[in-house]
Amino acid sequence: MSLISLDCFKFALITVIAYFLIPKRFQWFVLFIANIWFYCSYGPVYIVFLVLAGAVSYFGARILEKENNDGAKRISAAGDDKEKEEARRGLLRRKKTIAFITIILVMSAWIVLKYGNFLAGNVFALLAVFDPAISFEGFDWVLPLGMSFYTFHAIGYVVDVYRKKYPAEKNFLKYFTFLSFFPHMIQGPFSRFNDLSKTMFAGNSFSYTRLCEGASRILWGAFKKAVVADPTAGTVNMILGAYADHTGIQIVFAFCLYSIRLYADFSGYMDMVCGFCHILGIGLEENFRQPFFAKTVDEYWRRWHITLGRWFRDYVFYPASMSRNGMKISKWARNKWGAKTGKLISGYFAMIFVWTATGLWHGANWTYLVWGYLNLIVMCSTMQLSDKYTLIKEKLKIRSDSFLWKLFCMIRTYILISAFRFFSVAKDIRSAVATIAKVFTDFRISMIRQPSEFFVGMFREEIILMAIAAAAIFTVDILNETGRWAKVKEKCPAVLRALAYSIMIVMIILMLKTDDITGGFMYANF
Amino acid sequence: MEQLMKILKDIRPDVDFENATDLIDSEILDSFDIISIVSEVNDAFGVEINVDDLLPENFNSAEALYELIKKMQAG
Repeated sequence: MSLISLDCFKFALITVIAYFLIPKRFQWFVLFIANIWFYCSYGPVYIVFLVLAGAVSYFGARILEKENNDGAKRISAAGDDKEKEEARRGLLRRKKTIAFITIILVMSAWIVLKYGNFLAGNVFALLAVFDPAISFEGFDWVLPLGMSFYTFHAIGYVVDVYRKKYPAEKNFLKYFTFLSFFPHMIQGPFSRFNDLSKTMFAGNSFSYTRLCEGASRILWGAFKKAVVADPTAGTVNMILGAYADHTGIQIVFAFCLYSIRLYADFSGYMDMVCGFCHILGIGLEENFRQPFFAKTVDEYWRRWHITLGRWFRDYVFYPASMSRNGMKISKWARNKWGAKTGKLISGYFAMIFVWTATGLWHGANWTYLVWGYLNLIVMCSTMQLSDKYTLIKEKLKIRSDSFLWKLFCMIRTYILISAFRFFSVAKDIRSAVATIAKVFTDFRISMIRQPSEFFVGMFREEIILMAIAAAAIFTVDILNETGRWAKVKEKCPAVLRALAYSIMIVMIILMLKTDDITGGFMYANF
Repeated sequence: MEQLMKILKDIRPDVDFENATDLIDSEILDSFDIISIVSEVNDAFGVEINVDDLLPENFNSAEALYELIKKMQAG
């Protein structure tokens, strides 16, 4: 079921009506049914994996919860300090074992289905070095919808209960409603059970104001998706899919367009699901904060897919940097190079895990690993050389708060982020390198005089509509960045607002008429 | 408290630790700052702050962090 379709509109409408018609304490059950319905519309067989992940993480968390309670009693009942310490160590050991087994079981199907081909392919490639007759055709497996997302949600939940951040949920159906919540299951945002459950199970009254706000946000998201993301898909695919037949300047243009497309697609989706949840009174986390205004790659990742970054920070970065080895590295580096470098070295150590995981999370391919490590290298070198940058800026009399410097930093970050995508977009390392080589060996700047050669496969009308929409998105981002968007919306007369909505609807309809690519979301593939 | 203030100031001289109460909520401290603070505090006070203690309420102010240290020292 495509999100921009009549079927989806009917599904959302029925869900909202049913949600507000039944008594508040049963509202969550409407979501439970809606989740099952939505998931089964993509293929009923795959729900088996979702139920298994849900059951394993639910029971694992319940056992951890019991250990937390029983362990506390055992510790307080222990006699002297030595006994208490022993009870504490025993509890920790048992909890670690339970959490480890639960997480491995939750991840197992996901690892096999997502990384089976990658792992087996590499093993066979290695064996083929010794015996060229060995070959591997690949398994014909499909990764079920949202599996990466619900697996990570389940792991986060188990770890949070392990850390006693909140108690385990007793009602399996309620927990399963959280895990399978369709707005956040296809491509995020990553939610924490204790945060989402506050509004998901509270029982919400209907609000006309929320309905209007939510509906306008859904429209804004659909506008981004239908008028910018979908129409540009063909151009990007045609140029990058046949990079050998295009010039360097066309390839660079395609990567810039790809960044805009990905942003419109992903943030458009977030607007739609956040708007839908807002109507229901459910607070979904924001996943974007004007990412193209980031001045460094590090800042970019605090503005783009925010909840994924936070997930990796909480469940990979902190455990790695604060592990025994992480602390040893930190101490050793502090003694050897002083406080500043010591602080950075243990962070770099943890970031290797974070970016290996982030790369592999985005795709089971060496290209994604290279993409992750490029991010890692740029972020670490920026931090490591920050003193030198400050010195150079002082010598060149560059003011960090000047508009021109900030603009330069934003453009530099955009170029870097787009350049990294040479690897994440390519089907293999060889194609990525060949695409880069093409840019440097056959750039042909003179082609700039032929604009029609850039928007390959797009109609003139589509280009105009897309450019207007992209300018509108950029304008709203500027207003949001400068903190003026809320005031502009508040002061905007109703007539003007209605006119803006009408224009957006007309543009969506016009684009849907000329373009037939609408459908899946890019991040759903991860 | 004086010793803790010195550690915090060494790591982030630009932050007003005496008055700030939203160090985590307002993203004043980043993840690199947090791990440095934990590493230094563990060494200086002989405690073992671990990843489970990384809650905003423990790190939002110097006062809250000091309370955590005292609680850990008391066992």
